[in-house]
Amino acid sequence: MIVLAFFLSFAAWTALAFAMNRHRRDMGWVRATPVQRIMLRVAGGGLLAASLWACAGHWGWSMGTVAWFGVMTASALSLVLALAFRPRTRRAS
Amino acid sequence: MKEGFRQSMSWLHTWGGLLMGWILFFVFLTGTAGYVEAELDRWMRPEKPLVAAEVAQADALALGLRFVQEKMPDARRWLVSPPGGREQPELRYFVEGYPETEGAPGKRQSGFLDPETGEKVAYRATGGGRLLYRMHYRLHYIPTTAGEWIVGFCAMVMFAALVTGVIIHARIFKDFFTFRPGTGHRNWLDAHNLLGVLSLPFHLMITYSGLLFICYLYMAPVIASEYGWGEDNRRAFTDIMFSGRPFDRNTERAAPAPLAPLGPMLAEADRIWGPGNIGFVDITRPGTVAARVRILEGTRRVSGDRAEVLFNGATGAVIDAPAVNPAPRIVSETLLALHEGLFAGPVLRWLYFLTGLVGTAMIGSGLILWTKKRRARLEGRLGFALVERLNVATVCGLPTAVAAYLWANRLVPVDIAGRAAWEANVMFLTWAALAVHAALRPAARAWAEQCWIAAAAFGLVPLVNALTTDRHLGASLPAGQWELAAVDLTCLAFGLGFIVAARIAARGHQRAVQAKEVSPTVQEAAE
Repeated sequence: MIVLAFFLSFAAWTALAFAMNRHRRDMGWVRATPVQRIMLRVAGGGLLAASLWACAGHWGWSMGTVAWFGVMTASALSLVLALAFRPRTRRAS
Repeated sequence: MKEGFRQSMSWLHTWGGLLMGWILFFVFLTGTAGYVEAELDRWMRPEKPLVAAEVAQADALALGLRFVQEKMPDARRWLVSPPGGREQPELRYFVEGYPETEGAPGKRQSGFLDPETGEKVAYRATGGGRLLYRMHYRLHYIPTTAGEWIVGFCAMVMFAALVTGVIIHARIFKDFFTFRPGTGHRNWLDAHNLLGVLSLPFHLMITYSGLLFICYLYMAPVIASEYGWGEDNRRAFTDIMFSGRPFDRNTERAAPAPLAPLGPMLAEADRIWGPGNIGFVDITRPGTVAARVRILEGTRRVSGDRAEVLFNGATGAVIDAPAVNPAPRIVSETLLALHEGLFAGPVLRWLYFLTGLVGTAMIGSGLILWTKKRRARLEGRLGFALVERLNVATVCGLPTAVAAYLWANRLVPVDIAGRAAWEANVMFLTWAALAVHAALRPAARAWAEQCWIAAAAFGLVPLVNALTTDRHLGASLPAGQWELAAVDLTCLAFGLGFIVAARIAARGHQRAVQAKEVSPTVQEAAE
């Protein structure tokens, strides 16, 4: 359940990051259409909520909410580090 | 107008953050260590058996209560906490005697008991993780109140720095995931922003609740306006505030009366909270008609409050519980409990530890950012050099000093007087030595050298442990004693982290050297 909460939150941040054209450009992807951006943001929000649900499933609601903030911090840091130090082979110039 | 507002906020953020940053770094680092206080305590008492004996709480409690009753029958207070959970792994007792002269506090004594035999056990004298935790709100070597005032003031500045930081950031959502390594001072700004934003809820909570902890100190007139000045009135307030009813501080010996059997009282507590869930048993004025037995629940909650039952110690009857918690107290206790995180199990504790480190790193990166932004303009000035050296001595020197504290725990002879104090002295002497080193070396080289020193200091902790005790990784890992192994392993991880930092610093040093080598040629070319 804890691992699930972490990866739900990680997926949420990933969706939110790739709703932003800056991070798409870094990956060498095409720009997102407005509809895609909205869908990615909705998905991100939904996944964050799902992560809270997973935390509550393990810890109960009061402690789960506290843990959720910690899980969000840990997963967001992981994503940022993964984006910054990813293997550069795919980078489009 | 808007620009002016943001600029003045930026000024406050920069200068408040800089001037208080070094103390705040100390507060955050030692406070983060406080989250693993119990684990450090256990590591720093290697005399404890590798695997704790499995003892039923009721049996251990009975042994502890018998010990204080037999050895200190005349005390005016007995407090026994049974082993249970992470927070109190030991069977402990605390005893307070009657004052021999009027007005003086009675003699106090506390110690550990073997939960199987009820005999006193002796560990090496150590401040443990507890001392690091205490340093984060009262510093060291100075009176507690002075330390709390300083930390309280710094926390106020920290809170202002957080709010102004959010205002001046302006691109929180645009830069939410942005980190561009290796591009001048931009990467330090990115790092500072990321570390701040990604755990902003934690930073706000920890700073605000930290202020709340000591508001009784610096908002004393508010309390005094309701309760009056003086020690007795202050105590009347804290009793009501923290336990919901006055605490019996009467030091007279009341008329003698035998203590009612404790068994039924403990059984009642077990009935309410389930078996094995007692935090401690606190008996005041035993052997008199005024005796009270207070039993506290063991479980910690996010809302902070722990249930208790109070008995008349002479009759054994339950004394009615105080009225339900008023809402403001629940809010305050919840914030304080969130700050301490005592309810956290292993995973949540790691998350607390991680976010604590993130906060520490945010402060450190802010300090470094100040110099990176101003190097071109201010290099060579005395003030700039001072900031740069203090940064090295704090960001690298202080963690090394904490590692030295762990070394001292293993290397200071067990039988010297004032041993626990010497552990802390070693920590601060190390810090002072590194501050001198930072002052004498060129700044860029000092960074690299101190990172290597820190890497060695942390990385060798498991080795020092293995050479001086048999509680090393080779023993703790096969036995599955993770809280013990975690200290060694975390030190190793810090050691590796500082190796990475040292390589980054060395690269920065090389760039600085190259820049200096290039500039004369540029001058020659200009001539």
